[in-house]
Amino acid sequence: MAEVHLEGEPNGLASMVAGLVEANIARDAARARLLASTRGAAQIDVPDAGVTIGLKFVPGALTVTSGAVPGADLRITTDAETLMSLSTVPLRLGLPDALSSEGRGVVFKLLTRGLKVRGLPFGLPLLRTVNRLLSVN
Amino acid sequence: MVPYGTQEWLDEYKARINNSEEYRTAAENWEGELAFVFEAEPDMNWPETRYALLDLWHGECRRAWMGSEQEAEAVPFVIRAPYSRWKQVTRGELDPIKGMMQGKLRLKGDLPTIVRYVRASNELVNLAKDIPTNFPDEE
Repeated sequence: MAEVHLEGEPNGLASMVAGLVEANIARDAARARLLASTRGAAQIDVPDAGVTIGLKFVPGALTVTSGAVPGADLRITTDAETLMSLSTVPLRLGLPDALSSEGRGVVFKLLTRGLKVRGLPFGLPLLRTVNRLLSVN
Repeated sequence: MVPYGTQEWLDEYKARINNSEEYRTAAENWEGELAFVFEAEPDMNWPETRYALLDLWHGECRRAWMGSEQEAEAVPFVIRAPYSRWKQVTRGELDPIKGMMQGKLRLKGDLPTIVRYVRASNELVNLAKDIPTNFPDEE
C-alpha cells in the first residue's frame, strides 16, 4: 500500500502536490505500483511564487516537504503557470509527448530556459516517475 | 459600482460568466458546484465570513447565490481565503495559481479535477476583475 505524507508545516504547493499524488494513486493501481518501487529525492522550485518543495521517495511512500531538499537527485525550476501545465500535458514514456502541441510547448520552455531540469541523465527515471505521479491525464 | 460579496455582485458575475466564450471553452466539461469562502476580517469592515456558491455546468453558470456555511461545506470544490486576499485576487493583484501555491488561497476538493480546469479558474478570476466593484473597506 503506497502512502503519501506531508512533513512539517506545508506550503500551498506541498499540500496541492500531496493531494494530487494521493488522488492519482487511489484511482490508478499502476501509479501506486510506481510509487512502491521508487527511491530518491526531487526538488521543485517555483521562483515567481517564491515556493520550493521537496519530494522524498522511499519504496512505498512519498513524503512532500516545504523547502529545499539538500542533495536532491533531481531539481525542476519553472514558473507557476508552467508547473501547472506540466500536470496536464500528455505523456509518452513518462515524458511530455512532443507529438502534442502541449508537449511541444514544454520542449520550447526547456529550450528557452523557462523550464530547467537539473540532475539528468541519472535522474531521468525519477523525472518520469514524478511526471506520471503528477499527471492528471 | 456593485457592492462586493453580495447577491447583486454575484448576479453580475453570473451574467459575465455566461457571456464569456473563453470560459465556456475552458470549462466545457466541468460539472459541479464551487464555493468561495470569504473569511471574516472585522478590521477591514468585513465582520462575518460569507459564502458564495456557483453551480457550474459545462461552461455555464446555472446559479450563483450567497449561501450558508453548511451549503459551502457540502459542495465538491471550495476555495477559502480571508476577505483581503479575495480583494487582491479580484483586483488582479494576486494571481490565483500563485496564491494557491503560497497557501494564501486554500483548496478543498479533488485536486486532479482542479488542476485539469486551471485555465477555467483563471478565466473566472479574469471575469471578476472586470466588475466595477465597491469594496466595503473603502466605503
